[in-house]
Amino acid sequence: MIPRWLLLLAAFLFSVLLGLGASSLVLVAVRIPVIETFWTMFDGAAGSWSALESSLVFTEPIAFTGLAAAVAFRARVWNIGGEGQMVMGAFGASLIALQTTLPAPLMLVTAVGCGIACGAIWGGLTAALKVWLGVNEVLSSLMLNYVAILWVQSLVYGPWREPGGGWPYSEYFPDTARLPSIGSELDAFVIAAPLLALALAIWLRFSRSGFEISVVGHSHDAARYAAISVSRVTILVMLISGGIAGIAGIQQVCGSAGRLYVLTPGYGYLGILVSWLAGHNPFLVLVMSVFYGIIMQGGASLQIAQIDPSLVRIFQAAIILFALAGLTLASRIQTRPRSKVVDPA
Amino acid sequence: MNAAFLVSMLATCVAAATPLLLAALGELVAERSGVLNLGVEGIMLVGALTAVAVTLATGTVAVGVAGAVLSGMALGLLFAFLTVTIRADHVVAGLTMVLFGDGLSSFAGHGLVGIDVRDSIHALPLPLLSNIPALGPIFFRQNILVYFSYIMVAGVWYFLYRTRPGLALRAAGEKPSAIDVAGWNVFKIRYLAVIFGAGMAGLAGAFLSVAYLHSWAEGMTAGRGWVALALVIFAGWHPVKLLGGAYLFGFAYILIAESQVIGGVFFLISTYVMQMFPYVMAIAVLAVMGRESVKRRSGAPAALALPYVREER
Repeated sequence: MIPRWLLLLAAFLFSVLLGLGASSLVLVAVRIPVIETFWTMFDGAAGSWSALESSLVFTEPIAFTGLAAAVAFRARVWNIGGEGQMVMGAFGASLIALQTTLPAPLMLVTAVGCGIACGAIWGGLTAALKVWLGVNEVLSSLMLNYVAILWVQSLVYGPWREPGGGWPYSEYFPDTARLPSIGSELDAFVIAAPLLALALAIWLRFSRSGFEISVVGHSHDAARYAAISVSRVTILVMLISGGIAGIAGIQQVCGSAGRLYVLTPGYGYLGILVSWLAGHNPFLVLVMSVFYGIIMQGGASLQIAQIDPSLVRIFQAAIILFALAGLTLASRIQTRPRSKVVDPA
Repeated sequence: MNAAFLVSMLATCVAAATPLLLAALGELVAERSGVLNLGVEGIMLVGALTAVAVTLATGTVAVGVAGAVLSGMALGLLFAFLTVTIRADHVVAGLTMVLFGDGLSSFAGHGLVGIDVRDSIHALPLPLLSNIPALGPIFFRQNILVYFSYIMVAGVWYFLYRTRPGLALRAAGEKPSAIDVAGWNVFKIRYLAVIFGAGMAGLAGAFLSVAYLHSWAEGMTAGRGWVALALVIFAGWHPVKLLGGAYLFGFAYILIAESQVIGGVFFLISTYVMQMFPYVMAIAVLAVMGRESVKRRSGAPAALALPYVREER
């Protein structure tokens, strides 16, 4: 019997190949040289150490939003609000960095803490709406994404806009509120991501609440039978998920940017897809976010080679579409009899 | 604010609500058959772009709109294949569709941003009806797609509640094994429902680009696809209630656009904060509905987002 993980790995790799195949059809259709394009992407994203470092810049936020999604999805709580929770994390950190004058070590710690708290509150809001008012979390977390983005826009186009600056940026943060840098483009959180993944893996696997999350994720009825409060678990995972997504936002403003701006959209949504591809396993989330970082940096290198970088979004979607089909089919091979999951999103 | 201004403002609300109504009606049918298509936003984007591209290429807006519907249906076919045949997770498949539609439309639409569609859809006042005081100017001096949306509300209602295939479709979303035993093909029903829904989303996108804003812009749907999804829940999966919900949201959109004109208290609020209004309203509305549904039956199809496996019935 082939081990299950090998089967899934093979299915994933095969799906990626099919996705790249479909992408090359698109390239052929618009008369862009196929091999040259893929080589440009690979060379620019993984061809050298400095290229890999640039890829990790994209990996960092995706790793955090991916871990955030994994925590919620394990309980089958559909937190689609990673984007908004990330943006609120950036806001929370900026609030401390711009509006207070704290001494050196305290400044950064408080900014990070406030960012995580803001992300957690934003996630908790979705949980509260679901638990007490019966609002579907997919929609409420999504709507809150737009609210969070507009909130930060209102700040950077309004009261927090750099005096005399023409662009929607805040003033630069004081150095005390900046993350220590690693290499030329990365910051200290690149180390925090694997540590967090490890902590989450241990917590989810060995703690009581980690077990409760799995039970709720498998069956609400089983959870109730075991006297596990579905509401409590929902609130718990949304707070944690929101807080972790907040870290992605903190990293973007306290890292190399060093000020608040309208964050590049999409990391929150990518985190969801990465988490799903990783089967909500924290370590695999890291692997997948590195994979994604490479694809995104590959897109950036296309831009340098004067090829339309939005091509890469088609590549991403093609790869995910095939991976979705491939992994769904592969996971069915050995899992019969299937357990019926009755939990409409 | 005088009466004439109010009437013209309400008329713009109806126009602003139409893409929401079209997309939500389609999604309602898909969800009633048991398939949750979260990809509406992406399909609308592809529809909006296709309408502009085809209209510019052929010079005829009708062909452009037809192209948009077809492109939506093609994406619907893909989505149905993923969710009904392969039985992939509906939520993940839906998000992937959004990513796909967003990427595809922004790549293919690069050269078309901001180009004015010369042949766009214009208002077509209906004889007699448009002369009714107040109601005429609000509802019957619109374009043909708006009239189509009225017909579709009635049509979807009639189909779902007064025909046998409509009953079968609703049953497919409630208890697919029952309808299978009764001799209907659950897979076929769900495929058709999803393709219809996606075609309507494509049409909604076309409305935005060739009948409302008259050009293509990247990400021009700006969350309307997601609002349409919220509307379906708000309406308790009922097509007629959808009408009221859509107009409420059309009003919210117009309130933002006109806030500077109306002045007064709105002038003090930042435009960004004003733009939050539809989203906050959507959550509030869902919260009110949620409380209701705790008390009563919410109307959500029992088999929504659950794959149907014949061998396990």
